[in-house]
Amino acid sequence: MGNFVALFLIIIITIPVEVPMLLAAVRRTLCLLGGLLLLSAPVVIAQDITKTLRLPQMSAIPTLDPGLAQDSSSIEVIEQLFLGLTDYDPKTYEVIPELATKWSASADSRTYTFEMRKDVFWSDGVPVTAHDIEYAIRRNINPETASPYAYVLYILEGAEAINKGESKDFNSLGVRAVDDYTVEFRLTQPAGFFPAMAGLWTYRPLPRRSIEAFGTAWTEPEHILTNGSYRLATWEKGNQLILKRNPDYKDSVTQQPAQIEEVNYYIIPESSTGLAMFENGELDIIGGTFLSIPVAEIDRVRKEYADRYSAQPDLCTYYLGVNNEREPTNNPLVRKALSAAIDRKTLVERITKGGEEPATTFTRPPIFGSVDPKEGIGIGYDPEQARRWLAEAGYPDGEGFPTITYMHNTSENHAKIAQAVQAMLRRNLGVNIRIENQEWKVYLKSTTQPDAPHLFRFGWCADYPDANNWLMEVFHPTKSTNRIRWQNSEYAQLTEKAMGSTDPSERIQLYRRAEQILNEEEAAIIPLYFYASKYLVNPRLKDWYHMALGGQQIRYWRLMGRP
Amino acid sequence: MLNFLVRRLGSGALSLLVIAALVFLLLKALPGGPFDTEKSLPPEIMRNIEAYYGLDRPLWEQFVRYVGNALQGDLGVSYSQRDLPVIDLIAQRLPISLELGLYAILLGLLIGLPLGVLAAAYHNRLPDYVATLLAILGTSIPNLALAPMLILFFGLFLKWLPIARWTTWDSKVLPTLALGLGIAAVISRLTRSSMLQVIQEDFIRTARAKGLSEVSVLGQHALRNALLPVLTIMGPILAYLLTGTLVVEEIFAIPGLGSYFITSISNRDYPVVMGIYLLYGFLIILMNTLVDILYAWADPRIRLE
Repeated sequence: MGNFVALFLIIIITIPVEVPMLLAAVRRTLCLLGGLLLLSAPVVIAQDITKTLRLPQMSAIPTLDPGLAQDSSSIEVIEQLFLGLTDYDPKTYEVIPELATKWSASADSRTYTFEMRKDVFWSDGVPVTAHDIEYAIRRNINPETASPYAYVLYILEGAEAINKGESKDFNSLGVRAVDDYTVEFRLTQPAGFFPAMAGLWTYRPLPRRSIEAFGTAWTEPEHILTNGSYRLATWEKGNQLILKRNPDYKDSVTQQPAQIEEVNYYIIPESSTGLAMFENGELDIIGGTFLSIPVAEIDRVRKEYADRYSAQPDLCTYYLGVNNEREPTNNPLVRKALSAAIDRKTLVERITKGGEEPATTFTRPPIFGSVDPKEGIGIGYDPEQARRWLAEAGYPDGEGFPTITYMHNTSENHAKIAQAVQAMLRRNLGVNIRIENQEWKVYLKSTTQPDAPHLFRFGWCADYPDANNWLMEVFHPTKSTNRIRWQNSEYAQLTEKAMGSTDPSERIQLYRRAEQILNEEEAAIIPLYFYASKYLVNPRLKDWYHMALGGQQIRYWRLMGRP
Repeated sequence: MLNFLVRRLGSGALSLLVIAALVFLLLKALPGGPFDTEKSLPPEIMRNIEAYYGLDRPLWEQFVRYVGNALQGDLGVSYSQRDLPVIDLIAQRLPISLELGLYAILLGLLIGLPLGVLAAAYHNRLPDYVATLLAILGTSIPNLALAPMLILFFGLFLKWLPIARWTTWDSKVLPTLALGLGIAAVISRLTRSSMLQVIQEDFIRTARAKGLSEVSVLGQHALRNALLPVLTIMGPILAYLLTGTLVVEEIFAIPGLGSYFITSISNRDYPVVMGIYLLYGFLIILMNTLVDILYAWADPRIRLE
């Protein structure tokens, strides 16, 4: 026995001495092992870390073709490579000029004319002209291109018929290069939001010579022609993408090229790996569009990296879709009761915990046409009123209320929110809900069926900053997917009228009324909260800000020193 | 031998065809399509896209076309990366997965074989217990857990090695360990038990009686005979590697096939999933055939008929 104690003591005493030696031994072994691996190591070009911004992306970047892009990671890179006619102010999300210098609308607001900058060039030195925009739109609307986002061009005259294959008359298409630096769009109807739309990637100029010469391979680094603040240097698909600063680029605001010389995007599928890399100084940003911070780690990183952590508002709304055709949620009183029984403030403070804001309307402020939360439109948390509404619907204290289904796509976060809502509804209304989850693609299918669950979660994010993109394109009874299976003719008329109106103050009033019907009078959906992006940013990155729409404006950021 | 190979080739080709048909049907049976998004695409746009990829044709025609093209080495183009042919995708990513798998197997053999021999040689003594303990640890910690622990310790805590990605030699150490240690454990257990069995045999007693050194007895006579079961398990180890790489590649952000496989299933990227399945099937058939041939080499009593 005494021997063991002695041995134990010796071990304890020698640990401080032994551990470093042991570690050194392990290290030598690892280096030896590494030496073996060296035989096959690829040549790695040493990069100057002080001039290189390192960003993660969760999955392979699907495409760099502005005409084919529809996902946020493609759009992120396209934003660095290709200019649009217009861009957005990062604070107000108002439309500002980019490739265009100014624009004007005809009296009936059905013809828009954009004057373009004359000092923007493709990477082969050829000027970017109105003809490149005309070509891009003709090419993207062609059904053979099979562009998934072609429908944002449908507002142009003749576009829909061509894309549907009903017409081959490309001359009837509502886009025309008036001269080298003036482009004109003819619309099917007046659209006050058109300048916001004209900055979308599907409207950006494309290099005809490159596309015609190389087909789908035109986006390869050796063939691609770009005109943005960065140029494509390397693209190892699914591994990394490297951009180099375009020295010829002159920003419309600063009159200067981008500040950071090189931008590397690494594909990192696991967010916990990304976080470890950030903590180890191998990444400059994690969060937002650059791989989300694992939810389980938010509490820790918020404390540990208080100087690097921030929550930034995002132009997205988390809401519960309601199946407006199924018993018992086809009764507006039931829907209103459910909406009033959910305590959104507790939800964002205790469950999501990342700087989200409670929502009672759909269009995310400050987007044009959204309602200021202070106006109190929509149904807030009011358990008393909720019980009254449920009693009026014929279910006093929840008696006789059938168990309804709440479905979410499989994810830990959505599950937590579902459980919180379940608890709130049980406590405040005495009703039971059954939670189910499905894998994303299956879920997308299930929620478009007539027997879709009573409640199902979705998040909607702005494509362009106008309420048309929300109220019209998501819930219009016939002109949208309308997953909520909701028919309301007044709502339909309001959104159609607002789409065609050119009077901003009238449009605001129309959208305000539409929000009121959707969220308050009919409670056809139950908005829960407005999103926030949680970020960790290395302090060496200066002038950084979060752009909630259409790719980050890396051209204005600066790097100072080492990570 | 030739006869054997021809028969194997025939049955292998048939297996691949069956795999292709099954995977094809299962993929089509999965709800949700490759181009479904939250904002459902207008039907005419969906039609354009489906026509672009030939998805508007009847199922049997799609399958026949697929097999016909596959026989000519064309596995189609990825749906989620439109300009990327599946064959290129495999050509870019397979070598990385193979490299990782090779290192892991080498590490497994390098650690597992000596450890197993040592354990057998010191049967029921301290080295045996230590080896057993290590093996139990190795088999019971899944690489799903081992990988983050390695990252935490060698990456974040000691800062000796990069956390992830597959670039310089030092970035390859942790993934190799994460994948190889489990293999080492399995190999060491198997080597130990089969060595113990062989050591009891008469020819070992004869060898010892002739006065051969213990090293020569164990190393030359016992080990070669004990290797047979180890060879047998190389087939299953390959299967383990294929699934193991999924996790390890995902965690270490290695651009191999495994990590892409998972993504492509959730994206319903039919051509990529089909291509990778066929490749995995092909590799497993190939490896099993190789193992059978190695059998004959290791044990002269086995003849390939």
